[in-house]
Amino acid sequence: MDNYIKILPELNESISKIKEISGNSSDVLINRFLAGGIECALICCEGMFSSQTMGKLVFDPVTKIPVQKNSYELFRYIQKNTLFSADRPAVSDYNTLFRLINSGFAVIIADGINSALAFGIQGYAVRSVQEPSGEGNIMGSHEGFTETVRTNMSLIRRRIKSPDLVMKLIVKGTKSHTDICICYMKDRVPPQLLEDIEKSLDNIKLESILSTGYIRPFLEKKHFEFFNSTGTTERPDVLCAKLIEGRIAILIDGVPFAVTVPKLLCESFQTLDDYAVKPYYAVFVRWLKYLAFITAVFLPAVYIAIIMYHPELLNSTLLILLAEAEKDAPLSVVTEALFVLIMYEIIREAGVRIPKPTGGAVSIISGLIIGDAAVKSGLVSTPLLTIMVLAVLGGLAVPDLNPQITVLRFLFLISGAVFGLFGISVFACAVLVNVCATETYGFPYTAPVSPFKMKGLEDTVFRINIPEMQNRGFTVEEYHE
Amino acid sequence: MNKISKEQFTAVLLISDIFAMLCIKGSISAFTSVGFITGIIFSFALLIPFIRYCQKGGTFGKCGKFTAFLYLCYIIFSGSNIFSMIWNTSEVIYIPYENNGLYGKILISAVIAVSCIYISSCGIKALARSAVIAMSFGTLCIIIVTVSALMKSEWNNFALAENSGNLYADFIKGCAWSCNIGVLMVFSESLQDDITDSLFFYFTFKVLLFTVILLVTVLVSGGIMKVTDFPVVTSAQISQPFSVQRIDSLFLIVFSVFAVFSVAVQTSSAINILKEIFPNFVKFRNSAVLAVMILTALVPFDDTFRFSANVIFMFTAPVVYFLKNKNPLTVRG
Repeated sequence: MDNYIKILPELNESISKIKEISGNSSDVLINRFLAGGIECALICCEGMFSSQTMGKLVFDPVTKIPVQKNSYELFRYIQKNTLFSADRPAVSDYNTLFRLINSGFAVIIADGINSALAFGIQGYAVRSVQEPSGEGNIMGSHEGFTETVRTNMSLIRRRIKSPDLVMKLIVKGTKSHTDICICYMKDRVPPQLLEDIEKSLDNIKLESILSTGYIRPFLEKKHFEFFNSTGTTERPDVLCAKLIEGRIAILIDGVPFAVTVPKLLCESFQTLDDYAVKPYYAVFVRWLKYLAFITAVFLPAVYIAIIMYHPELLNSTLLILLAEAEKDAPLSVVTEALFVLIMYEIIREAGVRIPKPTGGAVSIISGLIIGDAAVKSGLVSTPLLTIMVLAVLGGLAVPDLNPQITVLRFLFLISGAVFGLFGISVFACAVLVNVCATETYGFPYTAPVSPFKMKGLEDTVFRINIPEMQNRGFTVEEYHE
Repeated sequence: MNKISKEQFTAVLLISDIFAMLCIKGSISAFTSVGFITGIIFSFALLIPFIRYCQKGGTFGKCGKFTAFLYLCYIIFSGSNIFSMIWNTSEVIYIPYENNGLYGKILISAVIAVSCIYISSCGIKALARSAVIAMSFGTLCIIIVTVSALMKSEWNNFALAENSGNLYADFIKGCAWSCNIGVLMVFSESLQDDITDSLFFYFTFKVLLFTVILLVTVLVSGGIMKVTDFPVVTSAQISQPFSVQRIDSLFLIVFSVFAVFSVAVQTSSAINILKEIFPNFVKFRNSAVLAVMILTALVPFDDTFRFSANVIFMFTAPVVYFLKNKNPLTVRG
């Protein structure tokens, strides 16, 4: 806790202290100069500030300061008569000083005063606002969040200009000192939810926060939940829609995703494009995604269960066709299914992790050589491969639930292979109860289906017209139990 | 707050009731219907003091250890009846390994028990929420079966449906399905809505669904009732809506889902009572309840005995509750 030492009034001692705390780090720049006849030092971190802004906003005005009686007068003059930058937090200890210089601020310390002045002149290299890679959208905005929390805040503010939008910055991570921004609409957010989230964030004592996964467990229940009760988005427009519905968003510096609380299952099936097309088409697409989810999870398991235990479900033509296809396969149908699914997961994981230039080669090898060869050699039957591909494609239609779909698909496949439809049904009951037990801060994950809220079905089972929506006045608080 | 709505309360209770109905063994006759109606009237009458007690702010929880133990026995016995029904009915519904005798029975029970251990550990709220979804799914399936059954029904089957010859057995069977008072009283503790409203809602839905199922069963299988072991299952099999695809599998799914939820409802109720009697018994509570249920189900009681015992429990439990709580209309601290 050494860093909480107050700023030392003697300049040389103060500079020595800064060097000592930073371990003489090469990127901590200390420039001594005279301002108003008083000896000062400008402390900043290399690569974190804009040299151009520094020259214009700091050095130019500093050299023009008339002679002052003492450091207090000097700081008062700077505060009153110059406008170095709009962001000027007070600094009284070394901990704050280091946090600020490491965030792109320039800090001036002067001889004879135990405080410092900080100026926000950030100018570090950042990725520009680009199209989100994971959440596709046709008709909506093509802007996605970046790694800089302040840029992300501005992306939200540009869309919601209301003063009711509140953005609270806090710092978390004992080593990383990561800026975390809590966003909410103060006229919409349930006060208890806000209080509970702030309490949960207070419990974070991590050394660093490097992704959304670091803080999500603090916002979710401790017992095992298969599905996430907090959401993430990389789209500012989607986030704004959620904020207006009374949700709370958490932005983390260095992460191009925002965490939203509470999250409902139905949100995984909604996209912003649903509101850009006619309601009938939006309803069609939404139901297609529900079907895709069911297909992705259950189709391989049901196929195996039918083939192995319930062939009476098939008509004779289909039964003969499947029997013919499986007749020459050297492996059992369960082994075949597991082989295909595991192959797909390996190829998918390899596709995500490998360097981009080799991606094309992997696609050719996996898609053409392995896929084609497996069928031609008779290792995998064509109907089974078709079923597996359908299931995999179904999962891709609901990318938000992909981790859950992947694991559930395997578990249902095994239960179907061992106990047929009975096994699938029994396991489905356990999963259903797990989903229904999922909730965050009293917001059930399965709302508005169970607990049933008629009004909520207007944007889950159906998608009512936008003019009707404007009178709806919906906030997520309606689902609180 | 572990509170449930009247819809959730209804779904939780109806799931066990309908499952029992799906597993009815032997014929369904006019005497069965009389038994059913009598059971409902009597159970409702017996519940009146409890309803008034609840309206004055009382709950089931503080009923004393003896009464709690009686209810625990009642619920465990009901649970064992469900396991027994699962084993019996699985003879006509294809469940893998069911044909392997005792090993098959134990395996099926173990699968259901493992699932129920997890479900009951998630709490009443999760169970109630999921019961609504399961019940909605079940109702949808029943509607599909009903529509297809009505197309294949023959009205003269009404006249052909005869009593089994054992009027007592028919009457007691109807009575036994009419109400599971034990579970009802335990779950009423978690109700957030008015108990009278909730019970009215539950009994209305129950009568409606039972009437539909009984009507369809008699219309479809009335003529072959005497040679049918499981009339509801048979009527579902006969009335398949598709020419080739079999409705048995749809029925198997409904059967399995309702079986799991029925056992889970009994387990959760038993656990709630067990908490009152032995508050320090926490570890393996769920497993112990399920093990006792399965072991009781293995005792070879005949169906008439099971139904009679169930009816005796059903009628005596509220009376004992009333007598032990000398003045249940005055709320105890």
